Amino acid sequence: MGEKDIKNTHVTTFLLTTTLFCIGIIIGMSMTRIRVEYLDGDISSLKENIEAVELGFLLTFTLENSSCPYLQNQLDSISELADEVGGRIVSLEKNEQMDNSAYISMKKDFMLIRLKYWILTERFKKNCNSNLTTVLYFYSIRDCDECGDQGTVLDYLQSKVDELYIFPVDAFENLTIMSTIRNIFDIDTTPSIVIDGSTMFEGLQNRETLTQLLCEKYENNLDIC
Amino acid sequence: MNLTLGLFLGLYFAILYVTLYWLVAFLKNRERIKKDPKPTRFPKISVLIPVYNDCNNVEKAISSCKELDYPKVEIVVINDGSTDDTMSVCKKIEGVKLIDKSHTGKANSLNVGLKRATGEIISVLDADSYFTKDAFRNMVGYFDDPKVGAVMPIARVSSSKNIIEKIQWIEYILSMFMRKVMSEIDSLYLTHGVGTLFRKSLLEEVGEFDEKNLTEDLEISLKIVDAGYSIAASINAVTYTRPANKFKELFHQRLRWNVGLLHNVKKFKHMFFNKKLGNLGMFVLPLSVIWVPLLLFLTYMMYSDTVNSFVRFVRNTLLVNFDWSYLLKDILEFDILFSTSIVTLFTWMFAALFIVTVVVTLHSMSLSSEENKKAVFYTIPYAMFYTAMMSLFWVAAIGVWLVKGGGRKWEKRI
Repeated sequence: MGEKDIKNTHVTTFLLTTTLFCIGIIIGMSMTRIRVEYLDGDISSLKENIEAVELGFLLTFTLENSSCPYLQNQLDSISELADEVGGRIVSLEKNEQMDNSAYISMKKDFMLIRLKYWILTERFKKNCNSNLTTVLYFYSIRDCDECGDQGTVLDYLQSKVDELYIFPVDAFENLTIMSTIRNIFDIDTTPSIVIDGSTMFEGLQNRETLTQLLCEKYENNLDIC
Repeated sequence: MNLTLGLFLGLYFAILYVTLYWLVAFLKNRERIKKDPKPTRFPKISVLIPVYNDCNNVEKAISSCKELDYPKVEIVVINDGSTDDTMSVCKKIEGVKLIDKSHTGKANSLNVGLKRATGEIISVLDADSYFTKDAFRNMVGYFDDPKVGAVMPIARVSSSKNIIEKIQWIEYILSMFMRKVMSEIDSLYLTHGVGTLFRKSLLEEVGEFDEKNLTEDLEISLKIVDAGYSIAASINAVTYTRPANKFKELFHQRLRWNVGLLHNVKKFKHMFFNKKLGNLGMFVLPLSVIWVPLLLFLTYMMYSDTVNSFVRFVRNTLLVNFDWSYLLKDILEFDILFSTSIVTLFTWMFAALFIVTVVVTLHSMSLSSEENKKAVFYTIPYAMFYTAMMSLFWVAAIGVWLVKGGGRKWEKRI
């Protein structure tokens, strides 16, 4: 093979590599854009649902009309989508180290929705004398080795106990309301959980501990007891 | 763009370029790969068989030389101070020039044999290897070109019973393909001891085999290309060699090869980025070194994702007390749109490399008229373990080389 042929081989390879590389970059960028748009759509839909629940609350407590079953249905309908969006937000941040302004603002929006959802659920429990259990779970994506384990334990228990509602929030999200909540419950480490808006646990709480707590609350009337 | 992302993208580009380079080189030469030049003359060939404590295999090596379909073959067996029955086995075989000497190593044995050989062409055959009948006829035509200094046959493994041998079966068949492509672009810089032919006059010109070198076959090859000659490879000339059949044996063999490569890189550093050597000096030789950190990085990225996922799965299994219904649901709910990361891209790359491995293996098998079609399934253990094993061997080799250097004096200790 002559020198010219060898040079041609390098030129062909370079052009081919550059083309494939650019295609890869374009696909990667498009995927990111699709993901962000997808999440944006989900967050808008969550916002609308939360507003609908808020209106339901106003209606119920303003007209003293007892629509607790309706409100519970509304809260249930949000739960699945909120969990899905939460998982995706964590994936994006973990896998792609997303730190652009669009993502930051989207994540803030979502954290506000989640806190609002938690507050509404607490309010629902109080006003409708509900026996639901809420867990406000403070995690952080970086520098928290046990957060993955805590997430798994809570997700597992949620899949087994219909009465259990989990609200994972990024403990160090730059939001005034987050700092306020952290101060109220004296949270300065992750993972931490707040059960039923009152009992705070710091560090990883394993399946056995949380199962015992739930069984005590529900007088062993749960499948997991 | 941050530094880490830039580094990742640069490495992607480099790995993609190298992979595509060989593909383009193959496609440009695909017509020539199967063909060997027809010999116009049949010069006398002396086969040097250095043997040390290998009485079980040497008989087969010698008889394969006798069965060669070639008019003028001289067999020179050099007993390198064996302490087993090697000498008595060799004595019983007629038509062999037998040299008995004290144990001084392979390179010295070859140099002793070289002095006694009378052929115009020298072939080096390890005692645990053997020729197929038409190997020389397929190779000798390359010597019609005066610029060709050596011709390498395709070495295959003679056994593929256990997983270590199966992995090497694929490795050898893929390297056969690669070396043929390298020879077509005048960039082949290595030979092996499984039947390679050398011009005797050239061996004398460049200075015989280096007795202090761990990989004397690589050293002599580099001397040949450094002297301005090229090394050809024939895909139709097939030889067989016994593969390492235990991990420990493979580890020691590769440690020797890798330390030998590092030592020779240092010895022949003037050849790297040497414009006079063209593509070999400017691209192929530097690549042989740059490829090592690339391989280590690629292995780390490919396996770290898989290992992390496995560790995560085991942890989750323990955390939920082996509740398989939950674990299965968790797996089935895998969110493909949001789970792809720069790390999982390496898993995709791993999958793509596996497909390339299968395709190239099938093509190589077809080129070499392989009858054992089931052998393509050996690509599975190859894909799973090869890069990890090679990385381990490289890490060990770099460690040994940095601490102890690359000379022959360390061979016994490694």
